[in-house]
Amino acid sequence: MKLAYYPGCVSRSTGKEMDVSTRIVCAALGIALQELEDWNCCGATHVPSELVSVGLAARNLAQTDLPIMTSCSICYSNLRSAALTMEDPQVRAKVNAVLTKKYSGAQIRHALDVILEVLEKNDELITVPLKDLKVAPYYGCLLTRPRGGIDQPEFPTILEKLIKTLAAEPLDFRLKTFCCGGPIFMPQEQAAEDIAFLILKEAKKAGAEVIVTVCPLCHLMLDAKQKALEQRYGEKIGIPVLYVTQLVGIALGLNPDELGLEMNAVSPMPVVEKVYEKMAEEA
Amino acid sequence: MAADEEFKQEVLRLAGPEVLTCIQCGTCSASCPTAHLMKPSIRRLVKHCLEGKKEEALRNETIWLCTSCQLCTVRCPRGIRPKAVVTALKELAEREKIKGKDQAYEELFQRQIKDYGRIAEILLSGEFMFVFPQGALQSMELGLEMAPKGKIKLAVEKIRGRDEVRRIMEELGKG
Amino acid sequence: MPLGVYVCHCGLNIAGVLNVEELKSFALKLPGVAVARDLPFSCSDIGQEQIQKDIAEYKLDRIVVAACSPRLHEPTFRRAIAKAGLNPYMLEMANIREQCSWVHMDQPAMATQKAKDLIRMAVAKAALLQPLEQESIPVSKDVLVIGGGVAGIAAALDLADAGLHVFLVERRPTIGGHMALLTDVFPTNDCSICVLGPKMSEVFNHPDITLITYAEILNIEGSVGNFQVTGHRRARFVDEKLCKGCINECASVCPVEVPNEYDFGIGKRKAIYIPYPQAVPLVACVDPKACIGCARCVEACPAEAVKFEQQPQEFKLNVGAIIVATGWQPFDATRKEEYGFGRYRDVITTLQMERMLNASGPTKGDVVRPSTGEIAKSIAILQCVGSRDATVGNIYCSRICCMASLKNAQLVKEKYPETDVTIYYIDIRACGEGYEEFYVRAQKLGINFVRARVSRIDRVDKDIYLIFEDTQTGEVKRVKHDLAVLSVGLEPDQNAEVLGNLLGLSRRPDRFFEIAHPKMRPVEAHIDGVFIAGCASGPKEIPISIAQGSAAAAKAIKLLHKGELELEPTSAYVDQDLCAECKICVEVCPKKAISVKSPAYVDEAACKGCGSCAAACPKDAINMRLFSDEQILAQVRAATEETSEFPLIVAFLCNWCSYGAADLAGTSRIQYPTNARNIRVMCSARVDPSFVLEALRRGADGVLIAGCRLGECHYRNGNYQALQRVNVLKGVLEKIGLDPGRVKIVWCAASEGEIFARDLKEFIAELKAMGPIGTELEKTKVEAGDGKEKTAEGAGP
Repeated sequence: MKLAYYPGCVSRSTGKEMDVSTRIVCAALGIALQELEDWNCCGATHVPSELVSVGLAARNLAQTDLPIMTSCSICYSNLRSAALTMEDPQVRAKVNAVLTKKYSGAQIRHALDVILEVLEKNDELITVPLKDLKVAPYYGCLLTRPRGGIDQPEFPTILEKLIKTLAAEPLDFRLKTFCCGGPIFMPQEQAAEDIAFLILKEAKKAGAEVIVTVCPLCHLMLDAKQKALEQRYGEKIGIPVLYVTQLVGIALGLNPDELGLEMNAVSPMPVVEKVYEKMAEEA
Repeated sequence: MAADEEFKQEVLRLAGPEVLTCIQCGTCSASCPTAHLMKPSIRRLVKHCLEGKKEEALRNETIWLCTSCQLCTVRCPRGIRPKAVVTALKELAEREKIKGKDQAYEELFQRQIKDYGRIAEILLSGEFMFVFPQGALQSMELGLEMAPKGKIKLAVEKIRGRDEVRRIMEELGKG
Repeated sequence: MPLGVYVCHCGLNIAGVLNVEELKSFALKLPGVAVARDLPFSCSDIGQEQIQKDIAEYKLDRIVVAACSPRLHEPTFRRAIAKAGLNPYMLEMANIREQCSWVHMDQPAMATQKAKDLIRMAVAKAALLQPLEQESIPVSKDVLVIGGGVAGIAAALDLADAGLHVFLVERRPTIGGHMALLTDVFPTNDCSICVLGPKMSEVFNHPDITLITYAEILNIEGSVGNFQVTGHRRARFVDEKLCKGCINECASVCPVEVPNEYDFGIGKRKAIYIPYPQAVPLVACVDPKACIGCARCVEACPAEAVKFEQQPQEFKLNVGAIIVATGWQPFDATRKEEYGFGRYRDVITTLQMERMLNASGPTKGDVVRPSTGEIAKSIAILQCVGSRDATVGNIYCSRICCMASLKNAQLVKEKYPETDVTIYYIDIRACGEGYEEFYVRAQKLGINFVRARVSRIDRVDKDIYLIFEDTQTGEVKRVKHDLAVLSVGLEPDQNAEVLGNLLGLSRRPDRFFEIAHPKMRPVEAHIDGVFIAGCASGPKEIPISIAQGSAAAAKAIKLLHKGELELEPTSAYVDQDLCAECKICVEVCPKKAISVKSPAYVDEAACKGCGSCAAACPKDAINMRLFSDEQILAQVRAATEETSEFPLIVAFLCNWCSYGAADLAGTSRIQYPTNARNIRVMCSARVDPSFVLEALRRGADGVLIAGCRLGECHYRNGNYQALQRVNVLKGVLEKIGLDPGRVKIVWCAASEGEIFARDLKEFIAELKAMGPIGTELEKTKVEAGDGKEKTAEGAGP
């Protein structure tokens, strides 16, 4: 399988481990990624003009004929929204008027469903089954919105499917599609932290050993900010938060360094050790 | 204050004519993750727009509390996109030069895209700290967390197609 | 071919404006006219007698009356000339009152000129009239009723009582529909099955009703009066004649239990079952999907009625009319994922609530939390689940859910006064006799009402929570309840889709069957001889479904009681030598009256004479018996023979709306200029592009086509077809160098005389700006300048 890869701005800084693990996992699964030529920011959630937002996304979409994969839910949602909006011939004409390379349609995929598709056909690649590992599937908001993407917007199950494929146990996670607050964490700190902590508390209550995310902003809120949140709300959480690509990487037997696990704020190493111990036990 | 018909029409143009079909059922408010902090609620905000109450619609915290999660848009039984209403109001607030920390953040964000084609988050938070020092604490916390992990890179990548990106933002920004 | 022309004074109504004397002399000079007279009141006895005398004296074989609108007195004059021995269709009227003298009162000279043109047009058409015979065909007096719910039952009983034989075909093993499953019904809270049960038995015992249950319709051919229907009865594996309906013997030994669809999944039944104790016929049925073939029931049945070897049986019927009463199905609540139905056991639907409240239902009338089996102490009822919701594609209100929920809330409150019952609603719709009073009663009983549309149901541990904004206070709340009841909306029964296709029924955007007119013809389908009753055409409460069943029965009785059907001789016919079998006519026909059986064939009983096929036929192989191509072209030529004013407009007006609007402009004395020469056609879709081109070629400056408002066509979609043709035509005009604005299509209802006049005035102004026809060709020549003749004359119209 050959895909164009759109890393997104976060891959260059706070979400480096997402990028690193995406590349290595795809390589291990035989998915050839070709980084999109001279890509630009998708507009994220801070461009208050829909048309500009569509234009920014469309410039990326116009760079290739291959299906475009990204592992960031915000980018995924934005690129999809743009493709949907560009179905209106008037909008398309307006946007194409300013683009150097013209947009003529695109297929957009999230790393989650690309990886699941390959794994379902090649489960022999799972060399370190994540037996008994209790995983809270956390979708956040934008993976399934707007409607018509990889799963239902209200009650998606694709992440549970992947977790099961890795032999781990997906928890019934009540707040799995609740927004993490990330997009407003700079200007509206309190509001964002309230909801992020709610999610962490719920994961703890559900008995999660690890939370899995599909979006770098969710990851930042739940992982990088976890310690600060614990201090602020006076309650210990201590749950590692993995990108879906990192979780898959562990099950594929990839080296923790290759997966950027040391970059996570809450160390996932105890989880990795537990998985390997379990495997040794069973052998 | 008298209804501002021009303002109402501009919101409808940006967010779609379906906004007129709002039945004030509250599905949007009750779907919002930050609803408990909003005043007015997103439902009232839509009503303000339809009543042409420009001041109420533009000068409030509500539009800056939107996390863009789109749950309101997914659920609205009339097919309205309340999130698009918020986006429209942000754009109109920008045109009206209504200033505040939220606008400052958005401006910085857009300026980075314009200048570099991409976002360097850490630089963004640094600049935001400079413009709005009250936000310094959290950025520092985060920076302390991330610095040893090799995630902080002060050099910004600039893309080759910066002119094109600037053109997109300027031309399409005219609406 | 001697022709008589009669110019009516209508007192001063016509003669006060037009110079009738001049009109009479003008008419006398027209070709074929043997006699022309002016009559003070042509419609009076004296007037009619004069015409009849002339027919005898001058051996006239066709008559033109220039008077009022044919919509008013055409039948009068047809009768008059028939009395004198002429074929009634040998009459043509020139409308010089509503569409001339009354609308041009201050310009008598121009109006008289226009009237001359109108008379010339009428004479030209009259010369081509053919005698037509009204035929009658024998029809079957049997009626097929499809669907044995309350609407179908009402229809069947009325028909059978009136002496028509009814075949009632039901898909399920019992009749009774949804009503049989309900507990008490609003607004009187009487027991549903107690009032319906006797009707079901009556159907079963009626000598003139053949009840065919557990059956499907496979094919329908033919048309009004003579439909040939094929269907089959599925095997129930129980002999209907032998089974005594005791059920205990067979079901008690059956080892298989499956969820009971008649309890909407909350109760269980065996693989051999009777849907419910009051089922009709009271005969067991084996569910082949559940049965494991152990045959214990075969042994247990004392009547030896269980027959595993039973095969489906085919049946064939010949019926004169069909009543479609296929009903509805509940919205699938799992589609609203945010409410957790199917995931949270304590979230149920209204229909499950109905079964729980039912004393003979699965909980014997107890309202319990399914997760614990305990009586529910706090019940939430959520309105508009799957209705008024664009996210699931159902924008419509399901109309009965508010009342059903008010009723269920009352029943709960009466049984358990301590229980908290809260209805979450957007609007309470209680429109009907006694309905608002019923709402008041619910309020007085202490039922809570919260104006909110619940955004989500959350389950924490074992409890369910509703999240909503109370829109009256603006608070976003999270409230715990024991049980949440989703008030699911009504959708059309998806099993009816195949049937709709067999009959050629059209559907509205809400997917329910469309009726022939949204107000005036509430139980008729677009297809003649087919009627629709009950929820098949949209959500309805019980009394309205019954009324519609009876109305459909009355319509069928009216249609068939004589045993023969008179056909209007207005239909289309095919020139078989010309037909290329392209099937375009089949596609455009709104009545499904044309089939291509090499060559095309028009079912004259089904054809209503709109003429769209004739306009669409690329080979001109289809023509109309009334309003033929030749007649209309003759009118066009007569209208343009003398281009007496600028701009000269040839206007085609559809009989139902726009011609009516033009008449109304007259009766309202709305004044407008004289430029238009109106030609009446049955439908705007009748206008063949060649008529338009002929008019322009002969010097008309513009052509106006007026139809019913979009969506209100009397033949379903003729005006859309006309619009499509006009758009193509505009392209053609542009190509040959004419301004496409010279053809204009407008819409007006019969009540919109004002709009007709306004549109016409606008068109006149537009044409004035364009200049006389051909001006643009001259311009192109000038612009081409360098001598290159761009206006290829060969391509001219």
